[in-house]
Amino acid sequence: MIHRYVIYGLYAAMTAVLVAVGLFSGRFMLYMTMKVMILAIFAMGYNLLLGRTGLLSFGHAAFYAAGAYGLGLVSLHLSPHPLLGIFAGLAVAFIMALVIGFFCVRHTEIYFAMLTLAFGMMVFSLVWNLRSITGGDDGLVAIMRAPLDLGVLSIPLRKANHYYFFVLFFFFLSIFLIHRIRQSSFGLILAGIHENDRRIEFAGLSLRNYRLAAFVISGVFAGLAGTLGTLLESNTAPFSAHWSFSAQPVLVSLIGGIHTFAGPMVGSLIFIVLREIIERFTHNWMLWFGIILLVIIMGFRGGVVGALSGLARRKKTDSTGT
Amino acid sequence: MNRPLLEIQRLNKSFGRVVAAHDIDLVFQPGVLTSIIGPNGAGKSTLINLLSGSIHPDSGRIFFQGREITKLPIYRRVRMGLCRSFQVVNVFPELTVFDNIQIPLLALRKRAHRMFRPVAAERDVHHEVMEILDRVGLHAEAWTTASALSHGDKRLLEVGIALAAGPKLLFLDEPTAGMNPVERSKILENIRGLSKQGQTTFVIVEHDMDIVFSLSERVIVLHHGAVIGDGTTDEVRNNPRVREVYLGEEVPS
Repeated sequence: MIHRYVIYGLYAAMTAVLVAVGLFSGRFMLYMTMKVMILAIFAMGYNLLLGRTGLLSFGHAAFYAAGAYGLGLVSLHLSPHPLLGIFAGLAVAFIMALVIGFFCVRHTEIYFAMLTLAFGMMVFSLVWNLRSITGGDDGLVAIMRAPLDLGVLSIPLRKANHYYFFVLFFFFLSIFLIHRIRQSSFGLILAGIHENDRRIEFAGLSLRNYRLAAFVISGVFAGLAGTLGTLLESNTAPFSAHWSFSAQPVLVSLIGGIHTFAGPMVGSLIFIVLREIIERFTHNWMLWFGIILLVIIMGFRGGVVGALSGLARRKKTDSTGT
Repeated sequence: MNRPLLEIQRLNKSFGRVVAAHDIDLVFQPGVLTSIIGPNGAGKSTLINLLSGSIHPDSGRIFFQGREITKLPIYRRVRMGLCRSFQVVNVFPELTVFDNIQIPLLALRKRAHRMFRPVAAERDVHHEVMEILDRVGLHAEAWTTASALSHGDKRLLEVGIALAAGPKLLFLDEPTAGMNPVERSKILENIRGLSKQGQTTFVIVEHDMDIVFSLSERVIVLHHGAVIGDGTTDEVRNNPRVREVYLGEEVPS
């Protein structure tokens, strides 16, 4: 293990940088940083499923979209209160993950992956075709960022530098919750599932139920990312439900390292920044992006974070003379 | 309180044309250390798999403490107190020995679903983990990663995980396979001691005749999926059918 204080130091530095960005940056920097944080929430939740239980889902875009459209519909038809919208988005994502997960966790490996993909395609075609509800290929547009009304005080969110701190709050909340879950009894059981899923049953635990729980939790975090992303863009994009979007948390987790806690966060940063840079230079950004991702994924065993912490560990044992 | 722990009624299972269990009727009483023996392919593993829930019988019924469990999934049987260990080491390789034992204990104490309380705070569970590590003799290895253990220690851990699930009836599938003589006598001493304490009833599947006849109060002999001998060690030794098909080669007289 890297020294505990080094990790605390890194998190303190991250907090300082994120707050500084919120206070002093221009609109573009704020927007990009929010994109990174939202993708990180998506990927951290996703990695609770992939990294801990080893289940590879290609359907999590559906839960992202569930959050997005849940918030969008409530915001347009009921009340633009951001917390109400987020709550609605999470509820829709939760129910959808519960139903889809119920069918998917009965299977593993390729069958599980293909089932999630199939459900993801169904959700996309619903979003695409139910024009009267979802707006079809236009998505839901003109979603307001209403002030955050907490009764005693009302915080405006319309400006980017205000909304930034709203996203930052949920980013930290997600880190806290996911860290808590990983350290809990439940987290240990998930680690056990990853190690030896057959034995889990012989420990007196229902493999299916624990897989489903991990699936639903990751789905709810995907929903949270969807609500925050929708408020950021002020509209919902139908392609956020498309299965190709499901690849993002997979790639991000792989880049950062699926067996590390910070991996998805670092992966999100690399993903967003790289893509932004490459898009400026070439129309074939997907080609170059793919090549660079290939190098990162094949070059860093266990992802960037996994490889770096492995390196630090080796240095430490070298210096102690073993 | 003379209710049988486990009762099997006319259990049948075949794989294609191979009959692995043929009309097996057995009753296991609490506290009786029992061994199941038989030549290779006699259906010993199939019987354990049927009883623990890994495979389902073609016909027949299984009762545990009077409740029918024929169709229950594995984890429900484990929760009722019917556990097994494995012949091939089947642990959580990249977790510590401590966590290996902790997983079934968290399940037993109904803590496994807690999501927001750090597992490090479950101190009463930690005590029990250490007790079990003491019992199987792995106390010193608590913080070792399971995959780094010696083969004998892995087998001990295997038994430890099974014990941690709080079994009333525990099937040990060749618990001494691949052990050196020192480890072997250690684990047998353990089994004898634990059996005397009376919380757990042991049923052992073994190849080694010395172990079987020194340890068990009751011996069941399987052959081609059927029970051909059942009784005390002496009764089984003197059973002509058993001598014919199995012991005949080993104990000529």
